[in-house]
Amino acid sequence: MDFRHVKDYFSRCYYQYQIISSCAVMDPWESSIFNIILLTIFIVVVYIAYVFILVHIYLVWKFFSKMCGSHSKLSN
Amino acid sequence: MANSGGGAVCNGKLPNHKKQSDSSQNGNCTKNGIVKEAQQNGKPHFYKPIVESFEEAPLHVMVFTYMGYGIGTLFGYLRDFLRNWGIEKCNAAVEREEQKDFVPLYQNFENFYTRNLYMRVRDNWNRPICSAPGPLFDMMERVSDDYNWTFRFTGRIIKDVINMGSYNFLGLAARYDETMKTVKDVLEVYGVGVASTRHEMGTLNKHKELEDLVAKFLNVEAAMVFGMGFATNSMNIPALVGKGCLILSDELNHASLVLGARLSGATIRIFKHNNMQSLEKLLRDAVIYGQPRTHRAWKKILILVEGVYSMEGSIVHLPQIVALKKKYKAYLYIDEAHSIGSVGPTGRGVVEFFGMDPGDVDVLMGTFTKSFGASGGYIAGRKDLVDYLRVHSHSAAYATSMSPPIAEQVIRSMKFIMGLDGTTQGLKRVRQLAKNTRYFRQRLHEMGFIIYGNEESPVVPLLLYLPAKVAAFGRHLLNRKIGVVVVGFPATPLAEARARFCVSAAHTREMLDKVLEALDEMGDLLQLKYSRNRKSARPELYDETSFELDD
Repeated sequence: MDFRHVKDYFSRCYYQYQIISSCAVMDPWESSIFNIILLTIFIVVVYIAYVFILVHIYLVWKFFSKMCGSHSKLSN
Repeated sequence: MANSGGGAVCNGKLPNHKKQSDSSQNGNCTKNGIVKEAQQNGKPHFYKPIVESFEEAPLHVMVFTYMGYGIGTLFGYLRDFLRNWGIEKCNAAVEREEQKDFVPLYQNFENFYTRNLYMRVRDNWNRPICSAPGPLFDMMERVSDDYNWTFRFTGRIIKDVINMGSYNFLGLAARYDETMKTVKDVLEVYGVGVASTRHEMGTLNKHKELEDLVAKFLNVEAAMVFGMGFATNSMNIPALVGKGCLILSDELNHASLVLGARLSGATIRIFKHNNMQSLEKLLRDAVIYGQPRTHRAWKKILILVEGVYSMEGSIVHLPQIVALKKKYKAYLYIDEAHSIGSVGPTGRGVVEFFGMDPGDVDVLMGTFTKSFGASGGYIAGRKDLVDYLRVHSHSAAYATSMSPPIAEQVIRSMKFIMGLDGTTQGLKRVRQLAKNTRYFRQRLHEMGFIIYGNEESPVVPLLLYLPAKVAAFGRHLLNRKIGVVVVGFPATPLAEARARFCVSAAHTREMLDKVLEALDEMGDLLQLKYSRNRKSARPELYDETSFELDD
């Protein structure tokens, strides 16, 4: 029962996306090309964000751990 | 667009000496419930409060609209590239091989738009119907196998589609019934073709009878009828004005008025839609500066407006225009194509709607197509104006006159509306139309759609904005057996595609409720409820026995 609700919601979301991006009025192969391009861009953006942000978080953590480490060394 | 900030214009007061207009700049429409009384020439005159709204859409909708058109354009370029290089078959018009080195014929924006954007959605237009355009009609079923390049009829007929698109305001465009007997008699006596122009042998006694009736209906001195409504405008404006005259025409005037104005050779200046400040500024400049180089006075200044604008649903601000015209000594030409028979307490048009004197308007023009169920147009006014047109109009000299059965249909309809056939059915229909209009507009407003126009105009544009929603709207509603007219780019501004409903007196409450229910579901499916003032002031009533009122 819940699956049907969720499926309904997702199919309405997909229909909304098709309407907004004019995919609903294009031929199916044009729609596929558009979806593939959009997905590719989205995946690349997510990957770059993932790599970029991870490196930064690592550097920030190292910086703070060094500061905390020197602080504890000083207080000792 | 002419809407000043998209806000509502609620201007009901017209004081005598000072020119004042206030337009609230926010997006909501407030109702001026007070009827102001102004003294003019010693007799009291009630000016009707004008309540209209042209709400602006939220920003994200405009972004998506332009984005939708942008994506369509990009894919249009891709398809054109594929067609050019022969990868895809070209179904559109192309030049012949020998013409390839000449000036290209199909590269301008209009052809690009037609080929790549219009073709994808064109199954919503030019749908053939096969019955009378009454409140319900039959439509031929049509499918396309190659994405709207060609259509074929399956042979089935979709029966009883609710008609929300025909200009059938009073329900007089119906199949033959016993009340149309006089039309049959006239057909038997006169035949169908007239085979001559008005100047030669084409003036029938039916035309004289009709002209006298039209003059009586409009309460003017005389009238003249023509065979075609479009030709009435385009052929008679050149007879009234010429070179050395000035035409001030509204931004959103119909193509027939624009064509007539251009054919006349007069100078044309455009004022913003229904905007009295813009019109006054143009009038002042015209009177002060005169003609462009010589600075002589203009021979004539003619203001061209329409009674009800068919794409906006707005009603002209007649009291203000008449006051301006009297102050600056200009002439006024009103095209009442959509307003004759459909607005006003007894259906006599915008002049009666505002309670004004028909003698104030110099040229009253209208058509018989919309409310009378016939075809043709008329021009009415003072007797010397109509006599001049009888001699000098191009339509009278060159065009075939109105066909006798059609003239009889107009006579019958007009007598029906005026009550001269002995019943009050006509008046009842005018009132039913007003009731239907108010109900339909109010319900749509409550549901949260953006509706343009005056709250008493029977033409209701519902804004859709996105190009894909235009197509989806038309198709989904046809699946539910409701026929609507959706309008897109060349007829409306690019970002304001709309669906235009024409309410009719022949629509019953059940039909309107069925349409409203379908629109409600469409609005939720397609996310069309953009209006920011959704809730009405009244609390909703429920059918249960116990309910709570919010305090």
